[in-house]
Amino acid sequence: MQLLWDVRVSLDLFLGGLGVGAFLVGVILYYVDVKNYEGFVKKSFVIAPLLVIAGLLLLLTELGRPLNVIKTIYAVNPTSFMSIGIFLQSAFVAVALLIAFKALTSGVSSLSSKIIYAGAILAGLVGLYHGFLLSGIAKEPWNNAIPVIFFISSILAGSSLMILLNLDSLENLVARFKLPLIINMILTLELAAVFAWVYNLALTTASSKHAYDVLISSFSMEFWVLSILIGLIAPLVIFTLVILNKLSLKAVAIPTFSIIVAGSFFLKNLVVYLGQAV
Amino acid sequence: MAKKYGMIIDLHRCVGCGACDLACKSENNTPVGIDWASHKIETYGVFPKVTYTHTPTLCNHCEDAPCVRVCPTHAMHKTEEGFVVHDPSICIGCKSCMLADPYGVIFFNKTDAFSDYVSDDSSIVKGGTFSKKELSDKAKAPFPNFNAARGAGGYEAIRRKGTVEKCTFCNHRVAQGLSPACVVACPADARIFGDLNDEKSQIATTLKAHKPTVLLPEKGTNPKVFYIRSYN
Amino acid sequence: MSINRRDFLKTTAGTAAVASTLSIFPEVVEAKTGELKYEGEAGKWVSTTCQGCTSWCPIQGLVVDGKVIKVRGNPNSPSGGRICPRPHLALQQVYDPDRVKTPLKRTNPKKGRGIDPKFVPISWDEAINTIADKIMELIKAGETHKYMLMRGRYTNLNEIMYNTFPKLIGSPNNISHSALCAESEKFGRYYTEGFWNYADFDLDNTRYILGWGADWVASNRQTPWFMHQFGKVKDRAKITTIDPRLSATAAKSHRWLPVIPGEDGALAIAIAHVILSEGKWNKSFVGDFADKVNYFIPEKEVPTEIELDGKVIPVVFEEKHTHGVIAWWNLELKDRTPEWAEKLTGISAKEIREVAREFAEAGSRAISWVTPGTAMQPRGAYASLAAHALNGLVGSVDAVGGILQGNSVPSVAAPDVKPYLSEEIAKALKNKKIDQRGTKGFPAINQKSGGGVVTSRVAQAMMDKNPYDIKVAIGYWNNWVFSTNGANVWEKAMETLPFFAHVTTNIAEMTMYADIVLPAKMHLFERFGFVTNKQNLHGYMSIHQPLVKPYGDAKTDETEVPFLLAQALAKKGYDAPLRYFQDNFKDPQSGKIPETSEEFDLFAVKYFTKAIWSGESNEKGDTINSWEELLDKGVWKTKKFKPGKKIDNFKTETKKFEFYSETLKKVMIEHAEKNKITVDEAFEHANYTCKGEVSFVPHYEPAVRHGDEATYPFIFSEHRSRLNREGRSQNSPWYYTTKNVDPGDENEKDVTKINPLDGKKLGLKNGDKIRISSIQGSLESEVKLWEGTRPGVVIKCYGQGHWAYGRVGSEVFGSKPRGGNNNQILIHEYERLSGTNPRAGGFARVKIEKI
Repeated sequence: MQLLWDVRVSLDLFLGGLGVGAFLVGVILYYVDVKNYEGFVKKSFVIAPLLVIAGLLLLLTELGRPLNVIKTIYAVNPTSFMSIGIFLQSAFVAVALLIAFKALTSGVSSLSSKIIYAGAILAGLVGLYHGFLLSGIAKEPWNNAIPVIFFISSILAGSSLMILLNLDSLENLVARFKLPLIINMILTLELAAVFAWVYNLALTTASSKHAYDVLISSFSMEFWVLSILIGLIAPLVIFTLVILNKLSLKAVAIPTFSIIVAGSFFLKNLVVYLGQAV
Repeated sequence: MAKKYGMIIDLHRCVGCGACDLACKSENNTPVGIDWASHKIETYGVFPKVTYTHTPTLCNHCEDAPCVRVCPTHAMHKTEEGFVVHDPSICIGCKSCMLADPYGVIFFNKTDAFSDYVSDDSSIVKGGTFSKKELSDKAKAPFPNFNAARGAGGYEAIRRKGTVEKCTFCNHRVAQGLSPACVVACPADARIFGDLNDEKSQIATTLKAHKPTVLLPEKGTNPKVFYIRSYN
Repeated sequence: MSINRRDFLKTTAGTAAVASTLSIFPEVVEAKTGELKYEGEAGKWVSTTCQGCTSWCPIQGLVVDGKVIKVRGNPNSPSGGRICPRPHLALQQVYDPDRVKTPLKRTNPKKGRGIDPKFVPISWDEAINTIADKIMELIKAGETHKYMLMRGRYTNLNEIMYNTFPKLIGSPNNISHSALCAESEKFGRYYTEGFWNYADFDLDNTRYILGWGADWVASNRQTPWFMHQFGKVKDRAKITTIDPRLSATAAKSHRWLPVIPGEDGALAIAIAHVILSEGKWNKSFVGDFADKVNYFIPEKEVPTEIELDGKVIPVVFEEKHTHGVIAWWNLELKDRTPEWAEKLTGISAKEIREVAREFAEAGSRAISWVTPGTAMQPRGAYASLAAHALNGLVGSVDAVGGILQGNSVPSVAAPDVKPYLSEEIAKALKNKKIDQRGTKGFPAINQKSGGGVVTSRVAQAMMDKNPYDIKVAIGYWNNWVFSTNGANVWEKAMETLPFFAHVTTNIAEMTMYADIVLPAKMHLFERFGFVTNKQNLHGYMSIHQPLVKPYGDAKTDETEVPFLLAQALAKKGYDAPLRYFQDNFKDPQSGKIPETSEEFDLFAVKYFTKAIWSGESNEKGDTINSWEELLDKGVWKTKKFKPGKKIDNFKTETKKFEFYSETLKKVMIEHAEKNKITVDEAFEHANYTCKGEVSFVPHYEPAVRHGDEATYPFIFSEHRSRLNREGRSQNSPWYYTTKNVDPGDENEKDVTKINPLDGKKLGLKNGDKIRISSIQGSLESEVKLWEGTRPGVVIKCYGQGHWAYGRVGSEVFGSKPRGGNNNQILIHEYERLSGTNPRAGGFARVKIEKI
């Protein structure tokens, strides 16, 4: 296995995903009730660009000629997702930084909803882009389920991270949102997407079956245990128990939201590696 | 009509010697580990009914080149004559092209090639045998048998650290009316290079006379390196 | 853009004539010599000769700015100018960072493997004077015969260093490497058709090739030409390859016969049996029974007479161009059925019959192609004889589509040394040679008893001081410590040698025992020289010339070194060599007397090639009218050889193609008489089992295997690499990056190929580290399970396992080898009739242990 993209790429996709997820959860709360959730929203808007920038910086170290990135401004290839992604991410970072700056200096309430809206659109596109960066390469495991899987994973991880950073306002949140239910819905959606992806690999063509074999034989621990069991099924079970009132959300919040965040990394890292192992 | 260059490899004539691989190395100044021209080998069957095949490989200069599609800066691009070539000056070294390339014919320069000829002054017998540095100093070249002609047209004669490189169909030679180095070096004359758009060219007539195959046709890349007949 | 035929002709006006008649160049080739503008102002293709193997191809190097940067074939070459992978590797050989750049002196008197000689640089003056002093000591002591010259690879300028210089200083001991090469292959041809040389083949017209260990697209002779022809030959002819290994050629052949090593002779004999018993021999070449009845009936002798309708009539075979077919049948072939051979060879009787029929049906266009794989075995002389005799049965000897001898190239003999020899020196030359040739154990019957060299016996002879001790030795272009079987024997012998000077490009294994090291120019690109050889039915002469100046202070081993020695000796009071050189090697153009070693080098090559560049040979082949023209063209070739003239005029005792070798009989009787033994005893001393008349026909000899089967269950078999430059390319990184072009081998490794069945038995998997041991020694290697290997046989390529030579070739220079040298486990053994060192035939049994 020749590893061309190492963990730095996975980290970029993970941190970038956390960033857009955090941003989007901030946007939702902003539109729902900015006054009630001001602290939460502020944290989201401040942390989002930092996470994305951290990911991008890591990615830069992965590049052979990072200084040449400046040339992507004029050397554009419309068929390359990376080329498009560079613009999307730059635009998002610019907008998100502006929002963060304003939120810090003038407060969240001073933000114009138009710019938030623009940021939300860009965040969505960047969230999708993370998957398209891979699926655009057209490696067997990097098929078109990946943008969906990655985007949902980003939202899960981003919101989980923000909840972890706002544990003191957890009750405030739960008062309005049935968090376990919402998260379980998204977890189920992600499980469905992952299942579709694996199913597709296992059954489609000789080369996809090969990819499936590699996944099952060489990456079973990373996939079944770290990504699926810990990252998705365990939180699903725990939140189901919370919904059934067998557990209290407060008691399980820290470990459960943490494993969702970690699971997102495991899943993305697995996909990045698997694509190169086949 | 525009030129469209392609290559035929006649596996019946190929004897699997690797002269193409080596001629490519000396023509293109590729360091150890980077082989623009290479080969696949395969042994199958059970003794004594055993079949061994050798298939020379190089960049297929695909009509629908995935490496070109994914390159964020068009550093990997197609020329008017259908060569898939790379411009290191705008390459960001993201290796997307390598990931997209189904043939494994693009290489990344992790280090500065031949830098040992700049720094390594060790020798077996002090004052009695050479060192790499001494040789390149005496040669006034990056290494003694360095082919400066590879640098024609502004291309880096030795590709520096951080970018990718691959077979260019020896575009610097073709520009001078010469065949690629691997074609000239083949002792079995197994390679035919020429303009696919010229119906009378040897390559076009040979393609018509045989049932050519390409590598990984299912990838839909439309390679311009064709294989005819069988190795065995 | 201009890729078409017309422009090609235009750009190559000078060479187009040659190229178009051969029409083997692709549509576009590089421009002709000297007209390569795009390569840079100074770019010029210059002709020279590659001696990376025994093909000796005329090649050209592109010289830019005083450096050689690329290689290609010489378009004037008889094979049209094709090269194999080897010359490309030579670029890394000439520019090898580990090359010796100045003379060295040993400062550690202790000699042995792994012992650091502690070499220090010295001047040429000091080095030459040290050697000259040693020679003067011998002269003064009246024991000049205790000087020895060891020659490895050579150009025809070896006339100076190898032929005349030892004589001029009174030594009979000019020892060549020939016995490491293929003398037993020549044996087969000589004792059937009186031809002690390599054969050529009419590939254009052949219909069947039965290759005995012949890996002709990879190694041995005419390699690039054969590579070029293979696809075409395969279109017309059936190709069968006999080899325990699925060789590069076997992989592309119609049929692969994976014979058990050492049993080639049995296979050949059985094929002959089928051809005769089925009446498929060539009647117009061999002849026929007078009554056209086939009396070659299995298990029966051909009767001298038969009863027909109550009348007794004699059975008469009217033999035409051969001699002794009846004797061959009666003495040997009659019982040698395919069923008999099946058990020995591992090839089914059915397949033996099929091959015999196919081969015979191609008649005079069927070639039985013997190579060292079949001949270089402990009893390979008879395998060689038997396999070559098949050509006689089908009449393909000297036939269209058959196996041919070839044209010779005009040459100039070395001037007579006699006038320069004092009585004492002349007397010293009468001493026996050190290698024990012509003795009971070492007949070396190259045309006469002791007519050939027994290279490897020198080691034992030196240690035993038999017939005497060697005190001073010079070696050049050789590395016998590495390249002879039982490498440890040479290691010990070299320890005992009191003074050794090695002329070499690299510090080779042999150099590690040297007292003085002299840096040699690299033959391909740095020196003058010339060779003669044959390719594509042409004899040719190809020149070496300096394309580049060595970066170090290297000199030509064959001319400059002896000239410098001659100068030094003259100063010390012995001027015969210098007088001989200066009297005889004046510049043939200007008449100038050589004063420096460089001048001598140039004048000598001009002297020896004058028959070509003077224009006097123009009628025999190419036209060349000046020295400068020879340098430019690089090669002169004869007209194409025309078959048919040798028949009934072979240089055998009977002038016929001899199945019953009167020629061998005569030589063996002489050899026996000389050694005061019977002929049967002579064969016994030579490790053959035959007695009586059967000794003079090709017959079966049991394979020699050293080591008992219980302890050493596997037969070891080795082969050559298409990247081997005779063991000199192993310090080239490209050797390792491309190694898997040898079928079954792996890049960057030195694997041992084992059949997966055997692997299973031994519990070995790919990549396992193993130790292979024979009764001679052991080496470490890595497992490669490969179906192209006969079960019971383990196969490894020769070439790697250097513990010196350079930092790429060895793991730790001077002590730890990279890979394993097969000669550590190959038994120190001989094919005694020809004096050769076997390397094939599976004479080493081995065991394998996982480490």
